[in-house]
Amino acid sequence: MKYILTLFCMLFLLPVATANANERKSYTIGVVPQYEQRKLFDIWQPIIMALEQELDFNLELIGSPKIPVFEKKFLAGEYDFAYMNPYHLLKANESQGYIPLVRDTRQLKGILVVKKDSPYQQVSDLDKKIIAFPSPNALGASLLMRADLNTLLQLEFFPRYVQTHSSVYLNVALGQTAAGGGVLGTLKQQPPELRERLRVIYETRGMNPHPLSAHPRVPEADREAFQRAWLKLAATTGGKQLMSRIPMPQPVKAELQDYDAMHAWGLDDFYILE
Amino acid sequence: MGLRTKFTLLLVVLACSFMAYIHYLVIPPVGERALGIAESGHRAHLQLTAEAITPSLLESDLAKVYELLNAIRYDNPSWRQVELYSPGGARLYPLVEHIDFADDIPILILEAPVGFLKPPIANLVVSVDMSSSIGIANELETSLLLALGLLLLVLLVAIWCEVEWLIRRPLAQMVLAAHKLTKGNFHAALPLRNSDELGELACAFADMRAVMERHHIDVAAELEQQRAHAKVLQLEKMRAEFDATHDLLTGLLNRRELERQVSVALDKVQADPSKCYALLFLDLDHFKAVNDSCGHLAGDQLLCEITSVMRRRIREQDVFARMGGDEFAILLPGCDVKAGARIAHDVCRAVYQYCFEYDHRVFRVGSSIGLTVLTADSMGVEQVIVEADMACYKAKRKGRNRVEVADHLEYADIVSTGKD
Repeated sequence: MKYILTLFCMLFLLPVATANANERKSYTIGVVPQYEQRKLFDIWQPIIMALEQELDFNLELIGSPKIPVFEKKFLAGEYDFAYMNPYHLLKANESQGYIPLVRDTRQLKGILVVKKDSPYQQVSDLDKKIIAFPSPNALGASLLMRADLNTLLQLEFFPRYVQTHSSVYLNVALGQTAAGGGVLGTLKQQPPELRERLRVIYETRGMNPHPLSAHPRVPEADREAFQRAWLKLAATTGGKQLMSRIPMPQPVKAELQDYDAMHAWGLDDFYILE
Repeated sequence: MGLRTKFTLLLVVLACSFMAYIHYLVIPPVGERALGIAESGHRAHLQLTAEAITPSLLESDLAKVYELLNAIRYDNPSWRQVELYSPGGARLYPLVEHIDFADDIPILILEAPVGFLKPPIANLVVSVDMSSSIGIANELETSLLLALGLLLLVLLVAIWCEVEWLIRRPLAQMVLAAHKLTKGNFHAALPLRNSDELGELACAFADMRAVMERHHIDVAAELEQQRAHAKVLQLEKMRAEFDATHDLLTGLLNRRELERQVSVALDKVQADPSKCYALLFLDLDHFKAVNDSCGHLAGDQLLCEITSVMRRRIREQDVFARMGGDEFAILLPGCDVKAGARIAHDVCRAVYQYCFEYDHRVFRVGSSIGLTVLTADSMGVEQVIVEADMACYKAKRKGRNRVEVADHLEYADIVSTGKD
């Protein structure tokens, strides 16, 4: 009888043991909420599915409703992999040791726009004027721009935070603010009738764009596998199309040194905790 | 103009008045009300829109405001233009220039402040194309008019049919029955099945007609009876008249009638002397012997038969009368003495030649005939008859069965007997 019971127990435990043997590892991946969640998943889910084909582990996309929540999570090291802006990378590296894996080749710059028919020809004309920014901590459009205006150009101005890049351009075009901070990528996405009412009068210093980084707890083999898979996918036509939506059309390997220059810019002085 | 025409005209006038009332007094407020409701709807929607964009506008998130207003414009095609103005009057939405609309498009401009405090943070202005609302209001008006018109039509047709079947047709039937009644038809159909006043009237009419019919039958019967009675009376009168002027036994005229006829003839002669009448007075010979030997019945039979014999000898127009007993008189119009004498002889001969058989016995009778003529000088009826009677008597005296003329007449040739 004892043998029969043991046999039964073994029979029941067999599928569990088999499942455990077959189960792949799973890592979480967090993405900075640049867009609303549905659009974010729409962009990232196909990429993750394509990557999983090449990897021997799974990736679980974790969304965040707002940037401050995202910041808290990566500062707490909740994500195994994370896509974030360069300033976030510096913070994440400081706190958790996140390591950048891939980034795009284009340089990230902030731009300062004014209304096309406005009298402002140079930044100094904007003395004591209201300047629109999407949010205090938007890297190119706000954080770096305010750092440049203050530190490099010594301009005195009044910031107005209008939530989004599009709102910045609209506020400027409609004369609600004298100027506005944005980035070239979002300016190009605006409708022509809005674009043609704006004029760029200043560009910030350039920096390497958003990296996809990994938490150091992820084994190096997996990090490298991820990096390879990413670059391999980007080499395909379909993968390129998928990644251009991030946007990261020309990914290359990223190093922590790529972002070293930013340490000297003193962005922390302009960072506002929410 | 008949009841049907009058009533139809009345209904038409009522229908026209009602439709005019609906068209001019009822429909316009309904249309205005519908437009008012549409306008209120747009106002409420505008208010909601203003409230919806308030938070984004407070954060200067114009992109969100644009997104909301674009979506709202997309959902409301009748909002031809949505504009957002800052308190300073600068246009915040849309980015493109203001569009002027064609004059023929009915545009309603609504304005709502944005923000919950005063002064507002912006003003939202909407140009609403009311053509669809006006179209709906017009459709509503048309539908209402159509529905009411249809209802009215059904109502009027129902009333018309009701009046036609409940009032006019029974009345027409009764009028027809009345016309037929005047022509003696008592059985024309009546609307007796109706349970209303007209039915009662028809019943009363039927009762009245039945009474009239009974009365009519009674009168007809009475009339028939009276007619029969009158006929009897007429016959009795005729018989009385006949009896008054005729002899009951022989059917000849009686003495009185002869006297009247002679009087008439005398008047004619006196009026026109060219006219002439002869009068024969005849007495049967040996008549008493028959009476005595065979009885009065035999005498009566002889008188009847001898009358027939004499009738065959005279003309149709001659007046033949029994004067009483066995005496007869014959007035001969258009006969002078000579013609009268010839006829008298003929009669005398015929009487004499006649044999009367009775109870296996044979009798031969003769006749004594006196003749006179009526002249303008005749003194009267009695005189003329007496003259004839006297001549008859003369014939009797001269041996019977002969003809004699009155004494004043000079005519010798005529004196002869029946034996000649």
